[in-house]
Amino acid sequence: MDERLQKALEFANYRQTLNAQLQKTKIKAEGSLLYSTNGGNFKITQELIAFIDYLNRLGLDGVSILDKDNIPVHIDNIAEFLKIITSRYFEVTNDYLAEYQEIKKKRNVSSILDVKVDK
Amino acid sequence: MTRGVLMYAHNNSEIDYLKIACANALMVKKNLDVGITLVTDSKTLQWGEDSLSAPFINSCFDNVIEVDKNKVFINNRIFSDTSYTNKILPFYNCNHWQAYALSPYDETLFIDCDYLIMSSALARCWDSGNDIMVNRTIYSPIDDAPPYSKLIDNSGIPLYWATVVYFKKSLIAENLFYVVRHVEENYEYYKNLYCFSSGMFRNDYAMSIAVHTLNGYNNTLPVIRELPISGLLMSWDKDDIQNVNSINDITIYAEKKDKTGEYILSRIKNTDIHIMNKWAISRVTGRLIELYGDDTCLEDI
Repeated sequence: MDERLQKALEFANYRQTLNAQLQKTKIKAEGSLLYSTNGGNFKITQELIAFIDYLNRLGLDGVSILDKDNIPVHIDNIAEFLKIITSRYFEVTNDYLAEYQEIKKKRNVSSILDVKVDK
Repeated sequence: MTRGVLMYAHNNSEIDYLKIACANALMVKKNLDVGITLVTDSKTLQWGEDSLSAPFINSCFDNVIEVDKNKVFINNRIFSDTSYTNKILPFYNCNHWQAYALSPYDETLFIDCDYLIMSSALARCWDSGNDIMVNRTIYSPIDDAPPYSKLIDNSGIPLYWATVVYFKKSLIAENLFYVVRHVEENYEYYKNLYCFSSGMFRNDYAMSIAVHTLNGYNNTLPVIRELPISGLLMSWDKDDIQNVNSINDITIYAEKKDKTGEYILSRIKNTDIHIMNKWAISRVTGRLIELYGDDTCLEDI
């Protein structure tokens, strides 16, 4: 096989492996940002945190809000809810960042997967 | 409030589901730290006691429930070990509807024994306030696309995966499993009604029909919610396990789409995964038991 073509295919294989690893890390992080409580399923987003923070600043408690599927859910303690989702958000994004950077800096398939290749 | 994991294991002539369940039970202990109940039959248990030892099995599970097998039930399935080997073997899966009654827990995670627990993600189910949670979304180790869902037929209802079902002892959960039983007992009728082609009995289909029924035959305001995970990670039977690297860390050969025999390596860390290639998982159960088992339980083998 032509050497240039072989290098191009090796690069394509590297990109495919890199993308798949990054995608798995992203899906794992998205899953960790799901929070189920009181029969509701919430996706912890910057928007949710900002909205709950707003309700908390208004001094509201015992409110009904819509979850990710627009099902109404009663939240008794807004301050506690805010604390849980905020800390979860940063735990997950910090882990995600660390894993993302680790994978991103790898320059070949064997280092992405941390496997030894016999030459 | 008691919480635990429930698994089934019914061996056939080639696949030692009990050994897979033992390995996975140790993984559950490490990652979820809850009780584990095994549902099995006398022959499978006898084989396990002879090949692994009774004390070892008892150290893996908190409860072992023996059930009688329905000898009339015949369900043959093609089991693949990568794209190169296929075998038709019996697949005994007709008693999953009993899970509700058999579970000793208030909150149960009912999982297939080949859904390897390599993270604490499913702990997010506890105390969620939902009566039942079951997933539609799946993704593959080599996809660079978001998780996706399927229909049981091109124009059919959504396909729910019975691989992992969370349920709380409640009327709705009891009803769900009752409908699963009803679908199984009238499978030919439902197969024609919902137009799915598979001749083999699949719990995924029975569960999908039961969910559709209990959601009031629509999906607009579902009573039955999805698990708090992005989707189930599926390694298909065309894939193979390359290596078990360490705790919660495996590498798999995932076959490229439409390219038989061409693989991409994929490293799975701290993520639960459904391994459909039973031989691949059987080849590494010893290593998994060694990694996840403590010295006391390993002495019993």
